[in-house]
Amino acid sequence: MDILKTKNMTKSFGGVVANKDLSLTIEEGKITAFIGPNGSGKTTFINVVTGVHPITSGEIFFQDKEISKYESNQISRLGIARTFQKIRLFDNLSVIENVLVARKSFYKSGPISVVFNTKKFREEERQNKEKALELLDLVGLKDKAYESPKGMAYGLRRCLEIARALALEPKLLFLDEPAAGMTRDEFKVIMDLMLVLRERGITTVLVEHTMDFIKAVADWVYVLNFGEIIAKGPFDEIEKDPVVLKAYLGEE
Amino acid sequence: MKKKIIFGLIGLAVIFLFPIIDNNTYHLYLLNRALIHAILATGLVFLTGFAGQISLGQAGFYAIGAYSSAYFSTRLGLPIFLGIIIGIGISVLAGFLLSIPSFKLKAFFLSLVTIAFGQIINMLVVNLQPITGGPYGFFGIPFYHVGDYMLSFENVFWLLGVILLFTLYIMYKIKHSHYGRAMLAMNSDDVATETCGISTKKLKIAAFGFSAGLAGLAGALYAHLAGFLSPEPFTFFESSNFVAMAVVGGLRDMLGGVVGGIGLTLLPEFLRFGGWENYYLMVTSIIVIVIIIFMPKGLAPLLGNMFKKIFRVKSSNTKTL
Amino acid sequence: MLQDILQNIISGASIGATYGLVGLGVVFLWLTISRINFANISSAMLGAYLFITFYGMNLGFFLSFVFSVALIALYGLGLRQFIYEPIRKRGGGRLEFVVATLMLCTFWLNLIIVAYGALPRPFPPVFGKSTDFVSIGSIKISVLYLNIYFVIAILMVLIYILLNKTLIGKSFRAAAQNREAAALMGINVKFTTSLSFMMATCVVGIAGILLAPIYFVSVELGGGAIGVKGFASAVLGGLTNPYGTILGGVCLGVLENFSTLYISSTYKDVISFSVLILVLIIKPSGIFNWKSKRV
Repeated sequence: MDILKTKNMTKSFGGVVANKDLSLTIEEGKITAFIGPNGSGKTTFINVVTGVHPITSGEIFFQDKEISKYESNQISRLGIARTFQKIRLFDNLSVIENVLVARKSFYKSGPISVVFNTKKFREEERQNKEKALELLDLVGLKDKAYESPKGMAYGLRRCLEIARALALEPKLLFLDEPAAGMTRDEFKVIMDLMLVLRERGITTVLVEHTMDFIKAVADWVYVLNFGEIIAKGPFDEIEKDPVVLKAYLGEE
Repeated sequence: MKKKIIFGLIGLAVIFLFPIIDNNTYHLYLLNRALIHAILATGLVFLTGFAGQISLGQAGFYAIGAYSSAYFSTRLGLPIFLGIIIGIGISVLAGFLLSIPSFKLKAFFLSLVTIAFGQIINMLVVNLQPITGGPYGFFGIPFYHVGDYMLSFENVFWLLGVILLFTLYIMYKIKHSHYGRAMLAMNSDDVATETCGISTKKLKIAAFGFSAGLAGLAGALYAHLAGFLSPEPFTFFESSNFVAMAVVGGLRDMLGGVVGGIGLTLLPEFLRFGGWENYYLMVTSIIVIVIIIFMPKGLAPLLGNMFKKIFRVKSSNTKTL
Repeated sequence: MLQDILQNIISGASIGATYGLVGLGVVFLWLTISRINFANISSAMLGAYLFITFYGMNLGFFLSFVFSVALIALYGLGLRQFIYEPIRKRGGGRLEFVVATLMLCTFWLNLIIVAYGALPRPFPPVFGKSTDFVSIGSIKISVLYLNIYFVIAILMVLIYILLNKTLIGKSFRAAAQNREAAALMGINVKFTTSLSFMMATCVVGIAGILLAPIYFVSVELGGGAIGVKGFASAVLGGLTNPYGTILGGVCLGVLENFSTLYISSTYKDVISFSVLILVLIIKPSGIFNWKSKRV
């Protein structure tokens, strides 16, 4: 079963084509990785699918529903979550509040119930806090829930960003270079986390440069170069593909 | 946070008793205006400090509220209460409208649009003479009354105080809910907020609507307090004063609008009667600039800390006793 | 009829070009520090008042002009030293600079009112009287406007040379793109910032002296209306293109003149506000912001 499908997806910035006629599918429940040299259009792919950048032409289907014209927030509410290459946390909020922000669409209380502090609202607040703490526990941040994420270690900030993405209860999760700049231990934590997520049935799409990481977790790999797919398949096959080797060596 | 609120309440209770100590009419009139400005500046703290949007056209909403309420209560004879509600309503609608440019524009570009908005409203006030009286003014706006009983300045002071407290209460509840968190998140990073399933457009509409509503409320309250309206209090310079109130008070602080609104209303008057009658506006602007440079977080957090210190000293004293 | 139209274009364009100069004050700062000085227009008022003060001391046109512009440049330096840098150092954001400059605008207005009174003063006829005309064919042009053209033309040539033929232009561009990178490239960012502040206040000060014969020497020169016209011109030039800004101002001035002629003078100012809003909503990158090779 394919959870995401793109048809001739093209994105250009001015005259520069970042994604050219991408037609691909992401299989449900699996970990799919995107690799390719810098500037090959991996991050652009995530940005277009999650609605951060509007699509230039082509179509995107999520669970057979066309989402090409949707706004970023609508796409997120359908169950597509993401993290960013350069971590984007809300530094003016506490750790748990960062996670709670992504829970907003699960609240049903309107402003009136908030102002009058109704029982319904208090109950909702309690449930969502519980859920947020559960997620923080999963990524190992529970004891820091009420601290500020500002100045926290890089790896912890990355984990918090993942917890925030998971708070959307996503069906599809995009991780943009989760292992970049991490220590070996932190790296291991993220890797284990991804395997746990796969067990829970969350489809993950990964953009990564660290080959060990991909080798360990990815079920399927797409190789991009100059905005186009130049190879696809399991990692073992990709590794030996002469086209891929050329693209990487050509960059050196 | 809760402690701060309690201290704010104690402080306000003291202020509430003020009219009993000093019942000089002019002083009371000034205090009433200070409370009105506090309501408006609180709206700006919400818009700018919480939601991260900017408005240099707040005097436009202030004017809309004032003239609408004046028109409906004076010319059409509606009760003051209804006039004020209509004033708020029209203001909120205008606020929704002004939120549209904020979807695309940020910071300076947005501030330029809001300046233009304020100027256009000011020009309408001057030129739509049949409705506003233009430069000749709008006269005979009814003062606050309940049936035949005319409220005194003291009564109005308490009324405004209650309205301000209610405003603060609403803001406090909103801030500590999913809405407030979303707004603070948007203030920090709107792309990331969108990917959390939150429509930043809706939030911006709501934030502009709320702050415009408070400005409209303040305008309407002013109209019935003054009994007379002319285009002067609704210029660009008033808009910039309002923003100055919010910034001087403290944009990130719940009580920033109250501290700034009251402070910057009373400061020029203290200067004026303190022997600076020719220079008071000059001196006020210098003081504001100095505060902005040396205390970028505003006065409210500073006052909060002072209260806390006093409280701590007291509690330690009682312990030793 | 045709003559009327031509005359309106000519007078509108000359006033508009001065709006463009006010806009340049915005552009120069935006290019280097990405901030807007909301007291931009105060320099115009200060320029005009300084000029009549020096002129009143019988210093003659040239010396009065030089002295006032020099003082305005000094003021620009002060603005950087005492407002911009302290706010930046103490971690104040953009909004703090906005509010500080807004308050500065109020400060200068009140200072002028205290020092000179609120009544407008006549401007000495150094640019000729608006009632003296020069005839070109069947068109009569006021000497006043011709002289304004003359000054602006010289100024534009100077700015062109400064930005394109000297290192200044290069350092402006570098600082605009990236402060740190510019510093690494050996560009003196402090010097560039100071220079942009001085150029910004100077050009607006000169605009003030040019506008004074039309608006009188009054606090109106430091008020919102002309300030917004300057902003509108700058926005038309995308906040980065100096020539687009002048062109934007010219278009604004002409448009304004025609609306006075055919619609009503009461809504004259609405034109620039509407232009400002429309441009910002439809094309925030500016209308006259072609990709110039330089700057």
